[in-house]
Amino acid sequence: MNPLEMLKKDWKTKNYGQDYLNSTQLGMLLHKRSSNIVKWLFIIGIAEFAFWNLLRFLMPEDYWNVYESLHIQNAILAFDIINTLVLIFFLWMFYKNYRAISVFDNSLMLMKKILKTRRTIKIYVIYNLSVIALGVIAVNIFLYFDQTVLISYLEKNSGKINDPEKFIKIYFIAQLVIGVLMLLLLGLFYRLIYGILLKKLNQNYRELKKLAS
Amino acid sequence: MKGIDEQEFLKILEANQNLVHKVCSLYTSDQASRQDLFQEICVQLWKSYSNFRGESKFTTWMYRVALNTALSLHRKEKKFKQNTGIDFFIEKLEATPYDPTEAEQLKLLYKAIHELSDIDKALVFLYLEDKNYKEISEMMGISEVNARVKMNRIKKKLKTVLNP
Repeated sequence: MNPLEMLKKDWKTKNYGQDYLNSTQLGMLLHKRSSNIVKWLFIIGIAEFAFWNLLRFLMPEDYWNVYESLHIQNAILAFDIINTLVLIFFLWMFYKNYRAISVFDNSLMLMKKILKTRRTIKIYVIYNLSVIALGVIAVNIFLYFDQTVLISYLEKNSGKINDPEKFIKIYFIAQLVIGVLMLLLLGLFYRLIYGILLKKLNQNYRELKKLAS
Repeated sequence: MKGIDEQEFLKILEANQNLVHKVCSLYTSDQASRQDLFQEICVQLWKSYSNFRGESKFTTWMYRVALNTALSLHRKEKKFKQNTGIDFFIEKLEATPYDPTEAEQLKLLYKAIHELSDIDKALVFLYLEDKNYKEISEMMGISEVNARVKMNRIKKKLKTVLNP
């Protein structure tokens, strides 16, 4: 007999009777918690939205005075409004993509939709990192050209600075190093989280996409 | 779930659970992972039952949800394996009338299937379940020609397992 026909015959008679659950046992399963990838993607996505917005509230209040001294408070306010609108847009996109995921789609479509949701979060994270990086660079440029504002802010918080010129140099180098390190760490963190979560899905998607063309 | 009879769903699931067990045995290598995937498929079936409008057969819908859960939604297996998936197949094999040559060949074939990629396993599963290439291509979102070409390659590969 053709080995595949033999396999087919055996497969059809395969019965997992000893693993069967009765309807009461099956009913108990239905109400257990699901731990699927989409759910995790949603949880991590919401956590990210919350994290980046919480960060804005954690900024020291008197930093606003520095903006005022630099005469950039209106620009910052306008930026804040735009940023909030962008956040709302991202949240809407994220929810829309999430809702579109249906387990009844064909496999390729389902994977595409899951990865689209992931992409929305990825773009949001890149947007946030870019905004933070650009914001920090812009404020530092203003501070660099108006160092008295920075010195008076720091002296108010940490006492008299003896050698302001040397201190300013160290301050800007430290800002640069910490900024780059933070970005690298965050990048690594995301790669790790989504790498682990979506490794299998990405592999399957690539393979299926090849077969779809 | 409002308006949906859970008991009715459970009855149909109970009657058709062999299909879910088959998918789980293909995609997992140990008892704990198998139970995990079985539960996840049941949850997904129940969650999407409200959208099942009877346009397709209940089992066709089950194939789709079960395979999609194994391919896309379920995370990787647990790290600590108690036994391999092939052991599970062999346990089942030994329950059937015994022909040493046939049993040995089936053992080799199941082992080879277990080592295939997730997508190839899905193709083999649907082939073994007698689905035609049109149904396979619709279910997986791939072209019918590619499904056929790929399946022929897998068949060849499986045949070489018996005649290296």
